[in-house]
Amino acid sequence: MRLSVEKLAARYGSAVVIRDLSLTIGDGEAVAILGRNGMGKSTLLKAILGYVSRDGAVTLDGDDIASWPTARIVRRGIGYGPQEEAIFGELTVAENLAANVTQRHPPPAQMDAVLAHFPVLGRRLRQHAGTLSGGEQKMLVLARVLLGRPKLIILDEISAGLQPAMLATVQRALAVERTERGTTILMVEQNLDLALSLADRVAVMKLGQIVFAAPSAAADMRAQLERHLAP
Amino acid sequence: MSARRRDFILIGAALIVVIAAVPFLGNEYRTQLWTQAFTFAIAAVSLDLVWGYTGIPDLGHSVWFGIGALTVGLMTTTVSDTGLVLESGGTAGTYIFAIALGTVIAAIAGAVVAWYAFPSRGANPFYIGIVGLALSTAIQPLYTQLPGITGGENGLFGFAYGGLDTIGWYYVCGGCFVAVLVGALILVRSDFGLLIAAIRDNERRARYLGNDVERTKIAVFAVGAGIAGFAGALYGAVVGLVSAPLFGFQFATEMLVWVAVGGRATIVGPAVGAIALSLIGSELNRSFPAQWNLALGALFVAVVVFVPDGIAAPWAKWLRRRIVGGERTLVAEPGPATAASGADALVTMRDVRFAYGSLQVLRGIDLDIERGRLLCIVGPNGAGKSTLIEVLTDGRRSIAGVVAFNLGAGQDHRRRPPHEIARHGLIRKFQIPALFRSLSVAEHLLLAAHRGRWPSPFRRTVRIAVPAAVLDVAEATGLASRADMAGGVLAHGFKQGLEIAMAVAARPVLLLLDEPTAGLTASERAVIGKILRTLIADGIAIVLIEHDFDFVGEVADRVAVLHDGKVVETGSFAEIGSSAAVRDAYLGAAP
Repeated sequence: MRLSVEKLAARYGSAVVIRDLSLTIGDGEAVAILGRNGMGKSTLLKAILGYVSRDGAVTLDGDDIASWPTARIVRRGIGYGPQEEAIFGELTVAENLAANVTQRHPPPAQMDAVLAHFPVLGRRLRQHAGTLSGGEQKMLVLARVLLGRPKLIILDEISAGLQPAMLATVQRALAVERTERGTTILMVEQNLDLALSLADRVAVMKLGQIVFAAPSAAADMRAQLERHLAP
Repeated sequence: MSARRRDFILIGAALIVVIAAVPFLGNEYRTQLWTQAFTFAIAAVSLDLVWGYTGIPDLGHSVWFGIGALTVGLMTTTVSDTGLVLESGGTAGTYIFAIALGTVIAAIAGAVVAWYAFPSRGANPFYIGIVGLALSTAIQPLYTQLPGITGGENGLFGFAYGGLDTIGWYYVCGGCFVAVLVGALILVRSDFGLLIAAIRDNERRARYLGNDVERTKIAVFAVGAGIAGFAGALYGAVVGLVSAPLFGFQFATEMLVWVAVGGRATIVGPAVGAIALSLIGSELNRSFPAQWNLALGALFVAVVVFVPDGIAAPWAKWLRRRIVGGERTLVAEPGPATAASGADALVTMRDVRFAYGSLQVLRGIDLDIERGRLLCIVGPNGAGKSTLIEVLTDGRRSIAGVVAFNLGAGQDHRRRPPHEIARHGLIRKFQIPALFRSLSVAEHLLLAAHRGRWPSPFRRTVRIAVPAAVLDVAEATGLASRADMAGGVLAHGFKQGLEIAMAVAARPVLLLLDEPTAGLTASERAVIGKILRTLIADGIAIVLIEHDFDFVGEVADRVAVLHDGKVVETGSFAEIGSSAAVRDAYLGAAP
């Protein structure tokens, strides 16, 4: 799925958080957004999904979705893993996994494939999701996104709070998703290693704008990014 | 004289002039309506304290008003067995005593209801709402069943105090109204007002900062009920009438409408709402009784839909900024972040076990937490790390095994509620930031610095003294330039930074940090690490849950590996890092 954002602006009340931002992600491409706190990374994702009011053009596969409500945008095939309030704590793990609009009844084989990445979830299907540990809740978010078979995956700091071994799992799961299904990925990430290993392109946001963007394979990219992220 | 004080005096004088002029502008009947409206406005202000500021939906606020009015009625009338008022009246002293008694009885009744409702039912605000609803509904039939005391269907009437004429009463009630209004404004701008706003936003977090949430809510509820009782007693003495509907749900609803239409949590708004709506109501009610109730209902719906903050809210907020204000700022306090002394071993855990229902999370923890050392707890997701912090900071969790504290007076851990443990200096930072939506960054830090000390209901702390390390954290995480931003609008990383700053501001003896660096950038992590080391040098103990192994290596004195509810290894970072068991269980293949 191709996502394009042009001259995007978003604000909370009088505080302008995104200003004049343009970004295009090709079909099957993976882009990681980096940046320091309060630069508008999460707001960019929310603006694309219509959670916050915004101006400018947002298109999915060429369709202008700027005036669409969030539910309609998501139904086009987006899997979103938010940073905060990402799970339904009063529902069980299984019920959380079933709460997808893009694919309501995943075939058992696919369920098994996703749970193979996160065996701990498979053992806790009937437990209330609110009683999972912080890291397990992150796994649940990603598992739910993957189960929806989305065409575009949008993730907000999915790696925060995951144990190192689990980072590798996340990377593997997303890489498989890309090679097998050609899924487009847009992720906000603080973990440079994960961002560089997964994304084709990286972009740094500062004060609501993209100030640096480059292919992640470029030489000494890590050092360049660290320079851009320094205060 | 400051500009704020000048504005306060000017606006106050204008208010008094307007109130003083009313009797000369209308006829006697209008003046009586205004007098009555003042008593309603006092009740509306009291409901705003309870509902608007503290977030307790009191659906039966009319009950306290009714108790006040009934007290005056009972003390100044004699009734026959069938409920006929035989004689009424009394001296000024009787009335003054009756009004005071009505206030006290309403406050005590409110305290009893709150004392019953809050601790036993936890945080669910609907419970107290249902209790209020039940009270206001149940008292009406009870009232009519006791004609020998309450006057039954007709109620008690004709007991208005005759010693004052219409204008005299008008000024008495107007004066009381101004006094209550000013008192309420002082209360909500004080440090106590900050605490109740925090409780409204996030009870659980307020509790873990050392605040006795239940006691505070009971106190607010009792004060609110008392003021409403006072308003009712005044009403009784002025109008000389009390009957069942005064206790009823319809009147309670009307009070809610005054507050909502005027503007919740603005004090001035509900007062304006009560006066305006009751005056318009009495004019229209005579000619179009049915239509007026319909219009009132429609107005309520319209306000909720179109101006959820209330009609008078923007104006009331402007007024508050103008005269209440006093922006809070942070200042560094010299000296170390904590007065550290005493034994080295702060907490000793032996064979601690804990289960959420049937899910066994801790399976026998042995751990020593020592002063002046930073202990990192690492382990796979779901190993029980956050649960370990939870059982340490809430003694009411039923655990097996022994937790021994060595924190000054706080030796015993068992059954201690979180706020008591926090007051002994065990401060935790939550894994997922839990802030107060409407409080500014600076106010969060003031609340943390108080660490449960009962805040002044009069004084407003504007210069918040915090340990220098707090300012360092604020500077490093970019919070320093956002001291007046509200917790609800901060970006995630700032929330994490504020959580750390709050934990330090509380001057902990033992600091429990659950993933403090998640969501922070590498450079911010480095600064936080340095700050933690200076705190350790000051002699506090830190327990840190962390996944970032580089960070662990930089800060830890000792590392404990938690796996499946047990501490499987402890040692220095080098020892742990080279352990094969740890690599397999936790680190896995490098990504």
